[in-house]
Amino acid sequence: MDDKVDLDHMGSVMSLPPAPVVLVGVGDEERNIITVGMFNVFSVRPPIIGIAVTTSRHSYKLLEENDEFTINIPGKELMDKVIACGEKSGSDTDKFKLTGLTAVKGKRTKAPRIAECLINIEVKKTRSFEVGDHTWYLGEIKHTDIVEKYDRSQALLYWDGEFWTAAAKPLKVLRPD
Amino acid sequence: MEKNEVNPIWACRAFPAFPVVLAAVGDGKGKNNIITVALVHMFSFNPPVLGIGVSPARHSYEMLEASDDFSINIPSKDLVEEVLYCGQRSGRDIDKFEDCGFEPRPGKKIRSPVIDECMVNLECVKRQRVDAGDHVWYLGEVVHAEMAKDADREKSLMYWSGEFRVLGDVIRRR
Repeated sequence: MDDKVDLDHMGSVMSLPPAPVVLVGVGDEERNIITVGMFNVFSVRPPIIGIAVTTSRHSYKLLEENDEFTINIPGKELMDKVIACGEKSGSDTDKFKLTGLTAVKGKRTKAPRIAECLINIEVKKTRSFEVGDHTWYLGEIKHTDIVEKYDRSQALLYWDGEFWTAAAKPLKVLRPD
Repeated sequence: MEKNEVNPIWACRAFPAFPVVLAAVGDGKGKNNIITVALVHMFSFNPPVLGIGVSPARHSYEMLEASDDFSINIPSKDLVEEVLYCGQRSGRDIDKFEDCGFEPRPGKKIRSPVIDECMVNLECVKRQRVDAGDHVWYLGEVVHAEMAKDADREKSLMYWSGEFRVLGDVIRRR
């Protein structure tokens, strides 16, 4: 391709495809919901998943103070609540109250799960590290519940201000590994 | 919502889809390799840092360990067969650039090559290394980037759990 333009670095990273956006439940007495687009699977065996928050945010304080959190996968019908949980600060808003989302006590952790989400994953924090303007928290999965008729194309994807879903039919399927 | 308990590995397989990219690494002496990576994410915005997770069993791991940099190249869905090929073969025995018909273009600010046929080329300099279970993560700061004039998010390719997917519905535009 000859037709390429130099980009500022930020513009370039915004060109990545969308990725899963999740709701993180954290806290015990003081509890809250954090919308997190910085989320990834770090290891498959053992399963290690990680989330990141801006080091300056209120969520950072809650994640520093608690050893456990939940990762909840929202369906596309929850987009407005996902946006609200991303825009408001937990320092002055109880986002469970704000959005009407239901906190359910974890089965193997104390962190609140969000009943309306398709998947609830309970995570025990194992380590954290700083990268630039974000702090990453990695943890191991303690328990997972998933809706019976889960369809991955119902889950929300997000990047660069846009919400998407993945196509209902795969473009290509590999032989099971 | 009615839910069932599943084991943690099954839970990880249930995530919707992740971006899939081609990472390229070279030794500056003509030995180049490409690895297909679905474990990829932005790690920091300021400065912009991208990370890729690679299994130590792979040939690319040795090359990444030895290199100070790598490129992340975003393929369009038209390249799904090449993406699959680069993910299933080891660079120990083959030259993936040659086999895929890709042109290794020298990086402008890094020693590793970029893949010209991809929509976006991000040149990354290794900053941090994180061991996590069965993958080693290389976090690289983006030092140079180029994007095709007709690059389009709607051509994005994603992968997870044995399935390549394209984007479905846009729920909200920016």
